[in-house]
Parts: sequence; structure tokens; C-alpha cells
Amino acid sequence: MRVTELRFAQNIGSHFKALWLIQGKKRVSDTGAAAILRAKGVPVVHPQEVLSPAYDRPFEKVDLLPRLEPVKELEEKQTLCHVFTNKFSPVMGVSQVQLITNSVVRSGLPETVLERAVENTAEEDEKVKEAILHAYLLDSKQIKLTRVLDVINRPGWIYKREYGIPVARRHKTLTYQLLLLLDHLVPGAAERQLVEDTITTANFNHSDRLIQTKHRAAFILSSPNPLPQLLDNEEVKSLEEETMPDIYPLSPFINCRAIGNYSLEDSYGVGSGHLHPHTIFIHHNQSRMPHSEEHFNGMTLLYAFSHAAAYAKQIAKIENGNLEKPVVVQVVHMHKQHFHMGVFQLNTLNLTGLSKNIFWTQPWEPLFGKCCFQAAKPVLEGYNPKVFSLLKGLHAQC
Amino acid sequence: MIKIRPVAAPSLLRFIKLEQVCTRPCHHAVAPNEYTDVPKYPPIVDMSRRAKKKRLKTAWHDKITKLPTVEQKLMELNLPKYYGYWSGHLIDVCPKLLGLNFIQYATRTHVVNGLPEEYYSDVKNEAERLTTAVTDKVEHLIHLNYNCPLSRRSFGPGRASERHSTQNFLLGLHRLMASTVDSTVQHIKESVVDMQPRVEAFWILGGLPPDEMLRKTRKNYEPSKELENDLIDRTMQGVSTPRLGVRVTDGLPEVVSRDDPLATSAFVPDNKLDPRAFGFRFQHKPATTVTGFWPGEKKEHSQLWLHSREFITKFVEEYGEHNTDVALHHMMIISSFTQALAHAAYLGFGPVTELTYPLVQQSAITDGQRWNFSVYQLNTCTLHSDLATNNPHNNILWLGEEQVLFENGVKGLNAEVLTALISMYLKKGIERDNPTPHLGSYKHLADHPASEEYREMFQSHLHDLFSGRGRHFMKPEMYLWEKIYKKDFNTRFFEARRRFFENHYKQKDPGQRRLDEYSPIYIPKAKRKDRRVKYKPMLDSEELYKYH
Repeated sequence: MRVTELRFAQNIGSHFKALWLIQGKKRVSDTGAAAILRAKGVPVVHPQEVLSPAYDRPFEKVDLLPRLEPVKELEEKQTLCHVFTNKFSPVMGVSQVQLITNSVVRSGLPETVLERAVENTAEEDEKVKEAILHAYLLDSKQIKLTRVLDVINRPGWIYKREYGIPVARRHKTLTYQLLLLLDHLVPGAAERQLVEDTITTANFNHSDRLIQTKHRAAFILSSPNPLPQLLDNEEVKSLEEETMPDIYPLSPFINCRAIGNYSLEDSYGVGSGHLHPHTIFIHHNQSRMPHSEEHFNGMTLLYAFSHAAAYAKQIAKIENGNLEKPVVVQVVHMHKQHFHMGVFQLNTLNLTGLSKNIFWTQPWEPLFGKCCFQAAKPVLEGYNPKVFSLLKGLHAQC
Repeated sequence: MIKIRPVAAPSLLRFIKLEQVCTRPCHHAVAPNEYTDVPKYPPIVDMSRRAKKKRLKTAWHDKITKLPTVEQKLMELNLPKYYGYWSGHLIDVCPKLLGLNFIQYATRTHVVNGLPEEYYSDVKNEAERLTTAVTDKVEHLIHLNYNCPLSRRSFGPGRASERHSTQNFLLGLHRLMASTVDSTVQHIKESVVDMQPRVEAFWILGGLPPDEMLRKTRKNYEPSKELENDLIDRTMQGVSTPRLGVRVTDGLPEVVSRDDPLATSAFVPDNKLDPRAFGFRFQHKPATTVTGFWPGEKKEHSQLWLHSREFITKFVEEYGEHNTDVALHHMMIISSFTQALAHAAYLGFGPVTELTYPLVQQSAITDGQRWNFSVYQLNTCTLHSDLATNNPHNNILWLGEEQVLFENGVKGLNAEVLTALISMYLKKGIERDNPTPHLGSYKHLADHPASEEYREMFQSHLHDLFSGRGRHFMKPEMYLWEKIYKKDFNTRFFEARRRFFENHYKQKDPGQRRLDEYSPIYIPKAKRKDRRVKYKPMLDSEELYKYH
């Protein structure tokens, strides 16, 4: 067999081209000749001052890939603003948010809601269970889910990457199906309108700072009639004597750094003068929740406040920050199977004044314990009927 | 007849001409009379290659038909191909300019212009009455969605925002419709709504011409020389993307009987070209058939599907306004066929198991303002081999004219559109006796008699297959340099033959690798139930898992 030399011939062409590229860029080095000549009094001129190109060669700028939408970059402003988004997590939980929104908290939902929160019939329970099984298990959408990590029990173990229903989709499917079930049980619910995936922005002055809430809601259920005031004006006056929690040495804006690139436009999800907010559904779609129940509950209050306030700024009449007619808004905050419900009455937009807003809430309720396939059979364990009955109570308010 | 008994010396037998039948050994029961009056000849079997191949195919189809659960049937369809089928993808929102005739051929659909009036005659009066009750509310809904400034999050560039605004409108519209028809019918109250369900269906399409490569292969291989120009089957994967799907317990009644001339001898265009000629792309994918939910849901039949029409804008920009109908027909045919076939598969029928009763799908496609309604009747789902052209049945699509619900800014709704929509909601399903003749009494894997462990493994295997996750090791491919230097002009004859396209003792064609051809999965000692059972059993469609 003839022995041939190893040539690595595949590199020859590119080597040749690379040499041309490198050596083609001539750098003019200073030989020192110009300095010597000048010293001897000989005039030395830069060649470009004498020589000029034979003709004009304009270079045409061609946009090869036109931008679909111009990217709006917000300019940096002088006054910094604390922007509270969905990703904000209040370090001190509900107490911190009370200070931000100037609210007082009552443990327990209002009487008007609890008296309408009747027990479920067996038929209703069956339908809710069917809705849960479909949304969380039997939906055939398969999308790559986020990685599962159990750092405490199985550190370093790499779990099989799952394909299944993403958290956002589970929440949406379940909420819509539950809303359909609730509509059947409450007469006049067809008058209410539903808007999906809204953004609500509102700016406020708090002490000497500028704050802005920028929140996404999964659904805003609006009704042609506003929700009735829960506390009349005298009771609202009596709230002024209540004390606010003290979180010294932390400031109410802890965990929310003030930024310079913000936009001062207000917007409320449903910009119609004829529709008033009834219930706001917020879905917490981060699969790994960075905060505990206390933080979760605090966020519910903040969402309620932001939507009520944005709506009030657009529609309601305001004097010195106080509302002539308080705005009532219900909120349902969901994460996987946890439901946190609350009712919020906005009395004032003056966040440092005496007049206070009020928030009724109760600890979160799990809708079910376990929902999975066991030996190819769909199984739902630990179903809690209280959640649906509370939703009925909220939905029945008009 | 000389009877020779095999005696002591076996060597003797070699030299004795055993022309006649030997006596049976004593311990077997002897038939009283081996002769019958009428000769019972065994069937004369056609031993040609064509016939042998057809018998193999039919045996596989029968095997699938006999399997007792939906999941087993779906798995058996996938068993022949480890790396998935190279199937033509027919996506409802990707219309091709000249592909309409092919789509009709591929789904064996006859298109009728206009909805079937007699089908809705029983619900028409009620629908008209309910329309007057709901007109105001629909006006409020339209005003909110199309006139009021809604602050919604950005959905990205392109037509996504139009799609989302249509979806928002449809969500509100369904709520309205559901509460309106509540007083009249029970089935909508009990219905379940899917938001953007995933609907895919797999079928085998016959009567297609062989491509150049296959013809060359056949011509160069002696036994298949005569089959050179035989028509072939290609696998098809249909994808439907509705915004909303309404599911109920009972399936819709048939529009026309399955024996009606419209369902047996209506015109369906013929096709003599490869699907790629029309622009349809082929990709490797397992045979995926899903209908928005996994088997186990109680509400298995669909009442109505609602689609959005933003993809038509792009098509029309490229090909002109006069081609709107092409895009519309493409969407309705593929969408409806995929949905109907997926439902059929979940009822025990499928690409190789023929229907025993027709399946009906109702759809509407809209952008809020412009509406098109359609009704689809699936009479046949087996389109393989010569059934693509010689099928006793054909499917029917009734597609209505475009109707406008409201004019821009002008008050006043077109009540006809609402009446048509409400009629679709009011149409009640019927219970059929023997709805699943090809499924066992337990229908789904959940109630299969096999052990729990096997059921769980089988279901997760099937879900993994349908998820579209890539394999660790992709299907082996012949690189270009190998094609040049090993296949076309073999300049490397001295190299050891190790690749799959080279002839050697353990050559395996990756395209022929079956789903159950894998190394057995090892069970670590700590996890074994029996010390001696080292490996997990292998995938088997009949017994779920089996030790070979």
C-alpha cells in the first residue's frame, strides 16, 4: 500500500483567504521620515490634503431586514419611580402592601359574600371536579415544562424533562370553565363582560416619591352596574382612627428599586365608561413561587388596589384624593391549586392621608390536593368544595 | 396403498421409497374416516409479490382493529417505525395555492356550497326566537371588543394580536350563547369548553405515484421489477388549530344517511401527483392522533368548533383577494377532517378501521365581523391502498357563504348570522347503540386488566411519543461525503463497512427499525422485585409489556 503524506488539504483554501484578509489591511507605520524633514525645514503635507478621489462614491444605506415594529426605548427621566409589576414580592407581606396602598385589612370576607356562599350540590361538585381534571390533567397540550429541581430531598438528581400542560394554560382553562359554571347559577350574569389578558397602569404620589403599578390580569369581569359600597361614609370616617402596621427599619418600597425609564401613561384594562370592575382574576404563572402565603396575600391586595385605583382615575370623581363614591372591586388570585379571594373598597387615592382603604380577605384555600394519573386512571384527591361556594358568593354580588 | 411402519433400524428408512403415507404412531387418536365425500381443498392463495404484500398489510390492519383499547391501537400504529413516519403535514392555517384538489382527494371530501337547511329545520324556530332575546347583549359585546379601547398586553408582531382579539370576542360570545340556550336545551349546560385545543390526526393515503428513488429501487431489485409503477401509500398528519371547542356527551346526528348518493358517489377530484408538488412538506413524526384531551374524558363528542381567520390576510396579501376561497376551503376541509378523524380514533375507528356510522362536525370561522359556517360529515376514514379512489363512501363538507355580523360603526346586527350560530348550539346529539364496536368493554387503558405498573409505563410511553420530544440519538443519516465517496463513486473500498447503508453481517435499515426494537432496560439490583429478573419486559401492543 502506498504511503501518502497527511496534508490536511481542507484548510489550504481558508488559510489562503485569511492571509489575504490580514495582509490586505495595510497599516502605515511611522518611519520617522516626516519628523526629520520638518526639522530640516522641508514642508511635509498629509497626502489626503492634496489628493482627492476621482469621483463621488456615495454609499447607499439599505435596510435589509425592515423592523416590524419600532422598538420604543423609554428615555431616562430625572425623577425616579417605583414600578410595581407582577414580579414584585413584598418582603413584609401584607403589612408592607398596607403601607403602600394605605389600607386596613379585615380577616374574613364581608357578610354579603359569605351569606351568598351557599353549599354546593352534588351535581355542581361533579362539574367542578370535571373542570379540574380537564384543566390540570386531561388536556392533551404537550409543551416542554420548566425543569423540576428538588434541592432539599434529592440534591443533584436530574429529573426527566416533562412535556405537559403549562401553568398559565391550566389556570386559564380552569378559570374560564368555572366562570361558565358560575354564570348558570347566577341570573343576570350574561350582562357581564369578560376581557382576557389586560394590562393596567396607574401612577400615584406616595409621601415624596412617585410610584406606579403595572399589573397584568388574566381576566377582568366587568358589570354594567358598579358593586355597591360595603361601608357607608360614616364607617369610612371611622377607619381614620385605625393604626397602620409599622415595618421600621424597612421602607414600604423595599424590594422595589426606583427606576428612571418609565412611562407616565395611565391605562385601565377595560376602557369603557359603561362597564365597572366586578371581579379581577389574577394568575400567578411562575411555576416555582419565590414567596410564601404571606407574600402571596400581600400581592392580592396590591392587585386589587391597582385595578380599583386605575379605574377610579379614569371614571370616578376625586376631591383631594378622596373619592366621592368609593369603588368596590373583588379579586381572585390563583396559583396552581391555591385560591386567595378578597374584596377591596377604595375610599381614597391619597396614600399618606388619614382616610384609609379597606380590604376583606381570608387565608388562601386549596381547591384540591392531588390530581394525577395513577396506573393510567385520572385521580383527583382532596377536593375542597369551599372554594367553589366562595366563588359563588363573590359572583352573586351585583 | 403400502403402509410402511417405521421399525427398529432408522437407516432402513433412507433406502425405502416413502411414497405413501406412513401410519400414525399409536398414541394419537385415529380419525374414523380420513376421506370425505366432497373434497375440501385449501384456499388457492395468490403467491405473487403484490398479493403477499397485500396480505401482510391486511393482517396488520386486522391486528389493529382487534385491539381492545384506544391507546393500544394508537401504539400499534406507531410500532413499525421507531423514528416516526415520514408524513405529509397538512396544517389548516397554511394553505397552498394549487393544493385544493389534492386536499379534497387526500380527505375524500365532496364540497357543497351552502349549509344543509333541512338539518336545522327542527331548531330553526327556537333559534329565531332566541336571536331576538340576545341581540342587545351581542351588540354590547361587539361594542366592547371593537369600539372601546382595551388595554391588553402586547402579543408580539404579526397577526397574533388579531388572533387574540378574535379569541377574546369568541370567549364572550360563547358565554352569551351558553346562557341564552340554557333555558331550552340541557346539553350545553353540561358541556366542557376547550381553549385552543390541540387536535391532530394521522391517516394513510393511498393511490399516490411512486417517486423517482422508489421506482429506481424497484427496477433494480429483481423480485419487485414488475411493481415499478405501482401506486403507493403515504402517511399524512393533519393539524387543526381552533380557538374554542365545545364538547358534549352525545355525538351529532347524521346530515344524510351513509347510503345516500351524496355520501357514496359524489364527485371527489382525482390526483396523480406527489403531495410535495403542491408545496406540502414532509417531516418525521410519530403517528399522532389527539383530540384536545386524553382518553378518559366523559364528554367525548364535539358540538362546535370556533376558528379565527387571521391567516387568510397573509395568504391574500401574497396571492390576491380572488384566492380567499382557496384559503377558506383549505382550512375548513383539513380542520374538519382532522377533528372528525381524531374523534373516530378515540371511538375505536381509525386509518385502518372503517366507520360503522357517520361522524358530524360543526364549525364556524370568523374575525368577529365576517362569518363562515360549515358542517362536515365523515363517512369514511380508511383511505389507504385503493380505498383512496375505490371507496364506497366519501366525506361531505357543506360550506356556507360569507356573512357579515355587523358593519363598521353602523348600528344593527345581521340576525341571520346569530340564528345560524344559535341553531348550531341547539342541535342535539343522539345516543347510538354500539358506539364502539371495535373496542373492548373497558375501552380505555385505565380499565385494562393488565397490571398497574404496565398500564402506567404504557401510558407514559405513549405520551412521550406524542409529545414530539427529540430522541437522544437522531435517525442515522448518510452524510454528503459518504454519498459521494462511498455510494455514488466508491473510492473508499478498503474501509471497514460499519454504516447502515453498507452491506455487512449486522446491517440494519434505520427506517425499518420498529418501536419495540430496543435494548432491554436494565433494573438495578436495589429496585428489583425478583433478584433474577434483571430487565424490564419489552413493549408489546397486545399485552402492553411482555417478556420474550
